[in-house]
Amino acid sequence: MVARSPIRARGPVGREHGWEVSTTARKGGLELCDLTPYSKVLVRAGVLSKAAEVLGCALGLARRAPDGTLVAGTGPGEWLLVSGAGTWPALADEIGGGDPTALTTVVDVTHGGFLIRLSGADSRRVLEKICAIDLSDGVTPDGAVFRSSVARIVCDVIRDDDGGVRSYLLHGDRSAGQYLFDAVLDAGSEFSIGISGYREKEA
Amino acid sequence: MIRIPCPNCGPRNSSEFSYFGELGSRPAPDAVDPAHWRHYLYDKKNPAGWTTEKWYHASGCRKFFAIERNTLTNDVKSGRPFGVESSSEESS
Amino acid sequence: MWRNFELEKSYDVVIIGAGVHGLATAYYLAANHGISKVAVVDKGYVGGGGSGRNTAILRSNYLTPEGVRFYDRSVQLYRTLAADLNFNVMFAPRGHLTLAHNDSSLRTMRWRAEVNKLQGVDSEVITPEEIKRLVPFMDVSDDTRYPIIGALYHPPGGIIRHDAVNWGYARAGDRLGVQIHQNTEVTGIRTEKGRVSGVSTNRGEIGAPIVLNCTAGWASLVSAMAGVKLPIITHPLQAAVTEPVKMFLDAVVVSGSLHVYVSQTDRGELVFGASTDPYASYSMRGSLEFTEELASHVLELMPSIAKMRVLRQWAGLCDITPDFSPIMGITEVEGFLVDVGWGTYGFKAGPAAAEAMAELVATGRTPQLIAAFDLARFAEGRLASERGAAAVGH
Repeated sequence: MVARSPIRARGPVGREHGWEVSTTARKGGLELCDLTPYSKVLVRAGVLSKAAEVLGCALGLARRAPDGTLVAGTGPGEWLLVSGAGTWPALADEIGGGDPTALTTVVDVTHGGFLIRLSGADSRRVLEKICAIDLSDGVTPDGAVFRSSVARIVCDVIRDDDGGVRSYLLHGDRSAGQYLFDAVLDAGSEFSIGISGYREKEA
Repeated sequence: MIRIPCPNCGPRNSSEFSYFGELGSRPAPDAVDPAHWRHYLYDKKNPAGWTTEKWYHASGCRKFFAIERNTLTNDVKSGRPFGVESSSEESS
Repeated sequence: MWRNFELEKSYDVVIIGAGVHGLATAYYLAANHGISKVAVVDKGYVGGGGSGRNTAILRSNYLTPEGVRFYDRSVQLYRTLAADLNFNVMFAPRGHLTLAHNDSSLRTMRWRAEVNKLQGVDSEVITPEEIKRLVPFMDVSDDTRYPIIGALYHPPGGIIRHDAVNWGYARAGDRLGVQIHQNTEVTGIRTEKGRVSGVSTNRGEIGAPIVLNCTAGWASLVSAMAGVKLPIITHPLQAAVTEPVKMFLDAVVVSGSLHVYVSQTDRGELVFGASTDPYASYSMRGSLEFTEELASHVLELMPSIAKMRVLRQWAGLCDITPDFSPIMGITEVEGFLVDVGWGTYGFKAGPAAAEAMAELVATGRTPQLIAAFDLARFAEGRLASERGAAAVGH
């Protein structure tokens, strides 16, 4: 059994946590990377619920939990948790307890979606070509989250800078993964975008 | 492209939304006769000017909300989630 | 072309809206029924609304036998219109192609072809090779996003000079005594005891026992003046033309899946149309997203025209009904009649609708041809759905 991303692995291929991944070396500069094997957990809960308090993240904002899990407020009463491949975010077990009347859902959507990272100083210019949202630092600084149309695909976009380098995580439905990956590559070609292989750890 | 002020996400291009038409108050299905029900279904004011209508943010927060829009100019006033009353809303 | 008159105190019939429906109804009232004390009033100019803003396509290859008969009557009238009106309307039956991009639409086309043949209308399903012979510039290869797998070919379909149709009806009506009043805006409709008695305009009062509303996108506002509610939503429909080039596209090409239709005018411009704007509006401004979408779809079909430039774009207002069928006939206000709700396809229906409305006005009886399209059907729950063959596919 092997799990595959909807995005075809380029270059040499290896296995990580049961996933087939590209082992192409990191390119540096403007790069696009398929991180679909990362664990993705969707949480829905009331905005004023205990769960929301534990998640500690308002709509439109993202933060890192102590275990490294990225928590993003992707919608009203909706959060996306992203942690390393093969892991389960500790926060997902902390929510939902306490109040039995509170309606909280925690769903593992790892295999239902794609996750790609666009990094580099020019990443804003690439994304601006295919997304109508204002990507200036004043409107969408590091840690900003929004859901919008990217190359006509509905995506959760998380500004998640990587050691001071501008970077965006894009998450959306699995079936659109290959198309979106190619669309971002196409938009980035004028800025010499390159593909980087899978990497286990973020930052 | 006109911009629609989503109460959750802020102003976005209209292509992110689905339009659901004039806001009307739905009669209780078991309390009206078919003629009145059809009147509710079909007869719209279709005004040339300001109107209150329902939109759905399909590519964003996936919530329904109401906005006031001028159908002659496509000017739009700020959106509000359902359950928040507006002074100019009328029932039909 | 036609004369200007002072408004008279009263007329036998007042028609609101000087588009093809209003002008043709006035003409048929005078020509077929000898009723010529008719005023056609319009807040703008002759053919300034949808009648001058449509893409001038004619066809009769509908899906229901009633629809086929109705539009075939219209095409028949259009075919002899130049002779009947003594005015060149430049009808060109160049052939009409509706493309199929999937099995289900090909199946519906076979169905339509058989219904059409039974009604004596020339329609057949043809293969991509035959399409290529008719339109050599079409990409009928397998490696497009929506490959073309066949088409419904309708040889009697074609295009006409829409302005000439409006002017021809106006001129011929004028010769028979019909008065056309441009820049005459109806500001109110007077009723007495449930009967219409006349209209108020910016130029004065007019008395009339019969008032006919032919105002398309503005139909619900005009009817409201008489206290009649119409189940109509007004949506803009945009169109565009390119710069003129040498003739290369003979047939009218329509793709329902790609929401686009293309024809080349006698001047050499390519005329493009698409589906209505996705929200109700009375604004007739063009939008960039429309042009972008349109260009991407047209280039799917004809990649070789990528270098052509769009000359201009515009919008007209469509009066869309819940069942995509028109509303024709009497209302609850006696003497107040409507010929509205034509949505995206009012132009091609003009002559047949007008002929029937003139008969209704003259005889007081609703002709069988339009009986199914009465206003009461909405309250009584008998909708007449033509969405499948009418909503997009021109």
